[in-house]
Amino acid sequence: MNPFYFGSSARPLFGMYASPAERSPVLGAVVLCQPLGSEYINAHRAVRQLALMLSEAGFHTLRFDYYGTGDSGGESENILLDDLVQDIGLAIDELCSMSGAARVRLVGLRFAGSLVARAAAVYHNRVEAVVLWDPVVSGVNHIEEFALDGRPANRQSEFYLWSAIRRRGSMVPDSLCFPMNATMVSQVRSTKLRDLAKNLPSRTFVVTTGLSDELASVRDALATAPMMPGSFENYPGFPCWSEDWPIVVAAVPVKAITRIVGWMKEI
Amino acid sequence: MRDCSVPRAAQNALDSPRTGNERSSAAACRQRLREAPVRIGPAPAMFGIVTSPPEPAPDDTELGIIILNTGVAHRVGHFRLSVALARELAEIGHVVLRFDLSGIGDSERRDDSLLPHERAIGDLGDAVDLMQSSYGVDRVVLVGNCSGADIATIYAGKDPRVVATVLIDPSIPATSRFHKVYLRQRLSSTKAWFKALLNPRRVVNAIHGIFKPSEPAVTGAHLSDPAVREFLKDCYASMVKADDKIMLVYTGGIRDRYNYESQIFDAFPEIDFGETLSIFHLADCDHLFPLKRDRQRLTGLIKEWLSATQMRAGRPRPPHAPDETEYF
Repeated sequence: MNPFYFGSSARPLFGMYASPAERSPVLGAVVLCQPLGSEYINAHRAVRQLALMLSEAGFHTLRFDYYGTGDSGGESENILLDDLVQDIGLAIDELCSMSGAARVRLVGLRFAGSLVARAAAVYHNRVEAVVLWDPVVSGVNHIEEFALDGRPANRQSEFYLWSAIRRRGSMVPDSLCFPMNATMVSQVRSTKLRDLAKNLPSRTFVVTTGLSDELASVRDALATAPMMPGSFENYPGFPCWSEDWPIVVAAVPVKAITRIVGWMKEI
Repeated sequence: MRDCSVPRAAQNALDSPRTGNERSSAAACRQRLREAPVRIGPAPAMFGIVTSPPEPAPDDTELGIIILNTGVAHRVGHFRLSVALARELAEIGHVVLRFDLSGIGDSERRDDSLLPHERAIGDLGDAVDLMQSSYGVDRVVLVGNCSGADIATIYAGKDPRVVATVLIDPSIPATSRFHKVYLRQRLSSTKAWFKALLNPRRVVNAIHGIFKPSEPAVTGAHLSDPAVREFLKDCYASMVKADDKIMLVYTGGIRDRYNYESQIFDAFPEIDFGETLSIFHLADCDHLFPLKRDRQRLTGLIKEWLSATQMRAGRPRPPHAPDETEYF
């Protein structure tokens, strides 16, 4: 794995590139788009494992941090939804440049599923396939999860946090665990996977690891997506973007990521 | 194909959450910070990010900072605390390394027979070597939270290049006063009584927890074990003997392990900490600092302490000798 910064000096993005294993024929190029907030930290190991397995299978892979997150520059309270989509575009350009590929495949975990769906529409001539991995169906519920992220153990902070939640649209950045400006909060809240489904490419694969009721909501949201039959699979297990300290930490959904790699090899 | 094996340094742009002149000057300074990925130690090398200041510290004492992993979270840290801390400390002139111990984050696991914390001690030695050889740092401050604090505690006294540690919620044995304070807190808590009525088994578990408190983050052994207490006592005694400065921060999030300020003195009555130890209690902060205002508060405290504390001169590391320390 090779770490590097790309983008511009004013907006540096951190990326981790993995080349195809030497013994494997080159099968394509994949950009891995990570979830937001604490989900990014908790899922890091699973996303890395997917990158390693894709590399072993013969893919150029690039996973990166959006501006304002992870090891990239900037702060999260200064980003907007379009910025995240733009960062995916930069990552696509970078991987195409590195690999010589004309088109890439995108993988989006959790809210990145919605970002990837947007990016696939914007950069349709550079995206040949998309994987939505446990996509977030409703932005409204997702914002609640950010606010409840790592709920403080003591009363005083919890009161402050719940006060911030009740203010909703005027969430004060410094009271949130993953600080966001009001515009970004509004944009995330208004994001619905259903609205993005029709723009997905026909080569779209959806893999989930959740329970049956969550599965049903994802299927329902993607009812209008032009997906091929058999493009929806479920492998129930502990959500890798969450943790149940100290019992389950940094979970890796082996079956789900193995299937993602398998699907990538099939198309 | 682009040569990806040569990392490119980048400058950070920042829109600081601060106000007025502070924001503009912080933004200007942050834009001149340099961050570069680095490989640490022998193959399979560990991975880290070094944040370098635009200018060296005013007194030019090459005081480097190493930020350790918390649990299995990678070098970014929970709620991006390590990133924020690294950049804030670099702004005041320090070279800061945050890295992934082997088997965590982007660092490969090493195939050896060492226990995890034994491996971590070796990894940390490689990190200090890198700071010295590549960045001209001859004195290092270790910063760790929870398991990171425990690793820093175990390592610091072994390496004379380490002159200070910032320990956030480290493992400190319980004392008789701890149990009294704990019981008093629970008995006076309406919420605790309500939960006990809803689920009486919690009372049984709580009583059990008094006599068998939480395991320390690193060793897995119980803090109530006299041998563990002795081991930790020796670690702290080594730091005091070496005149290493210690900043101990404990939060409201670990009231089940550390619940009054002088607990460390009572836990290790044999040690005369003198001027070495500074204790800070952040009662309304949670263990992992989920709220930004709390992260800013912690970062500010660390910056102030580093600026105000006189650190001893660095000493060269003695030649490697067989490690006879008994680990748990």
